[in-house]
Amino acid sequence: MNTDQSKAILTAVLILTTLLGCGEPSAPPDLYVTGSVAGAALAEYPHDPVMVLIARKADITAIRNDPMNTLAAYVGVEPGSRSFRIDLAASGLGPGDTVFIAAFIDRSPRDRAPYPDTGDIIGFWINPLTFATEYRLSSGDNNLGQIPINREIFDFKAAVSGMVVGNESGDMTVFAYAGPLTSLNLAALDPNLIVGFARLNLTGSPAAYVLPILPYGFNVPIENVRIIALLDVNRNGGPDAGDKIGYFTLAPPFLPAPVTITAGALTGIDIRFLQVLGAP
Amino acid sequence: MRLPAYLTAIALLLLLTAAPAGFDLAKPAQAAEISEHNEDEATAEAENESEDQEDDAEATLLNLKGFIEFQSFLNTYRDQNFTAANKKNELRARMESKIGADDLHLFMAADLSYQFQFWKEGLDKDYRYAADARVKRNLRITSQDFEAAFNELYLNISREGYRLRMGNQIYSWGTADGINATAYFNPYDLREFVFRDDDEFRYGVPSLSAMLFGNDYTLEAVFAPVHIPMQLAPENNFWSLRQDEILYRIHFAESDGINVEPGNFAYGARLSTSLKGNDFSFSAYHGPDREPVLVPEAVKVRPNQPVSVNIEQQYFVVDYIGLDFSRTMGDLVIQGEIAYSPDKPNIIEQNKPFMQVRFPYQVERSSYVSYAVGFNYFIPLHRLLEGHDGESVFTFEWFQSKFFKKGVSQPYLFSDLLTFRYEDTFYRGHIPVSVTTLLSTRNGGRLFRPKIGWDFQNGMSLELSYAGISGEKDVHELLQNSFYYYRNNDLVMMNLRYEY
Repeated sequence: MNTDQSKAILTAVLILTTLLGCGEPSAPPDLYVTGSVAGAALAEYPHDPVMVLIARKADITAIRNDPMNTLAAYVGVEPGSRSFRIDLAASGLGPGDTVFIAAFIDRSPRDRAPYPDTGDIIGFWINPLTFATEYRLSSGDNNLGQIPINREIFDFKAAVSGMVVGNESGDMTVFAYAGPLTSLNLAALDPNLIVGFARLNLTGSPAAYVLPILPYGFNVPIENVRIIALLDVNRNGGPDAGDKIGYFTLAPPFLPAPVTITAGALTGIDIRFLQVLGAP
Repeated sequence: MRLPAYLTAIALLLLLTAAPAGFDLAKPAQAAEISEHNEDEATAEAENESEDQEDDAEATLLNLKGFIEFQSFLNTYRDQNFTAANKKNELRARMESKIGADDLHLFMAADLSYQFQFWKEGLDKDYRYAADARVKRNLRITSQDFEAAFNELYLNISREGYRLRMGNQIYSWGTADGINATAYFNPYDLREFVFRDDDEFRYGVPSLSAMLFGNDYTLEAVFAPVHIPMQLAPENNFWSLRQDEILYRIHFAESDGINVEPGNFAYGARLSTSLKGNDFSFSAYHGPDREPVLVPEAVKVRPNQPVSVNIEQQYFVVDYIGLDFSRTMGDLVIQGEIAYSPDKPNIIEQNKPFMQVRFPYQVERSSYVSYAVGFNYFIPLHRLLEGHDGESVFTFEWFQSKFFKKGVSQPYLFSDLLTFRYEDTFYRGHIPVSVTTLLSTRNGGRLFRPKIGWDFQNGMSLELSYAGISGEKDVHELLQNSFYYYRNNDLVMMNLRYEY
């Protein structure tokens, strides 16, 4: 092959490569979040705006102080149907990403952008199986169902801390439950009575935990709160046989012991895993 | 089947090139045939013609000139097909006519514009002159696809030593090539950012002006009772100021201008003189500001969309004093102008995250200065390029404006602008070229615009240009700068014009 032929082929390859490289880039996959809001507060405050926010992390302080980097969506709800349909195609999020989703009634004066603040009414999307607040996105339509707006926002800072006793391994979700506890059947628990949650990765040795108490729905002092933990031993994202239930307890018969949450830190609330989930 | 827009426009202009290049209607139409007259009738006719010529000076004159132009914009942003990329197709007819004698005449400079995007329907149409059909205060008749503007329409009375004018006028005060700090009266048409032609970049204002001609000075005084507001592109326009954040979208409300009442009348005067080869002008102004204060007014919640921040255009009465000068030194012309106001208003900054901002923003008055300095250098290129007969000009200009009161936000529309331009013509004037670079030093905005054309030198000309725009975002600002808004508005522009 002579030099001229080589040049001609190279030129043709370059032109072809350029042409193949041109044209419209492929469109991002469809990514919608849909659902509706419900709750008595909607009828109680019918003229106040209702917003849905989708954040990259569950941090209300970051939403306030760094909204541009924390929020992925921040839209109003249809006033009549109370429904929403949020297009996340331009948000930078994709299938597999986890987000924190909340809806709130903004009762603040109209001289500012709506923001979940003291006195507003808020609700969250909570996983009914694991009580986690992280939602994993799928391509297409992500139907959340109904988000109940039923928690008044208060103004306090509180946390519970202690040790996770034992040599456990797995993904642990610990939460504070402010309702009556008649059994450890997690399916029977009311997500609206969860007043705090945290996640921890246990790696086979005792570990310290800190459980922030959310100022939503209950004001301090909050009595008869149980600290309960779910250990996902096989790390499959859901409760199944072999997973464990733990809680704070004091003495035999080692039932979940109630605590009273006040402003500030409640320490020494150690968790022991005493129950194993059986096969269905 | 409809002809494509380009072919339609080119066909129209080709037909027009067959028309005569210009015409004057100075007399009643003469008969095409010359009839035979006997000698007495020829003599009488010659005498009549002589009388007619004497009457010419006093007879009504109609002088008409102008052009017809087709303009098209093609956006070069990648993520769209060709149909969507075509952003503007406009036929414009400009007519300048003077009816009457030099000492008493009616002058009109009118623009009739029609834009079309037949192949786009509804919201896909992305060029509109206005949101709806209206007649503006300066007689500009505008609608989505059609506009008639009479930016100059005045009665002129000239006598020995003075001149009076009444009607729509444009006051070209100032010496800067770009933004004139001392052009207090005439607002800008910013519906295409900075891409409106020079003859359509400013609106005429209904006014009364008087000019006195002294031996070595001229004094112009202006009274404008009706305020004409600046114009931004309407929504759903390629040039709309769109800011689509996750948290909010910006909506610019339209303004009809400040109320017409005695407290809002505008008065100004300009004294021009020359001293030792330097041209100076001193000016003063009281009246509504040429530019509005853009006030974030309120937040509105919308279903399934981010909140909307409503931006109002508010006008205030201000005072200015100004100075402009120019000096020619051989091939170099230096010019500059400065305007100072002790009471120009603007919004107070709120350096807070969006969730903590309070609406409406407060407005406060501050001392303010705006100035431009620059030069034009007529490059003697013929000394370097043998046979070069075009006029080569290099232009440099720096424009800045600033509020001095602490806490008052700095000017939004124009500030801290560097302009570089090179212009020339080649091949016996057939090929005009220019390259313009505009840099915004405050926020990193850049505009690069090369231009080339072909002048057929029979009235017809073709011009092609490209505009590359880039801008940077300031995360601390609620409203971003224009360069950032238009960063995806890179364009190829075509102008086909026939002048008569």
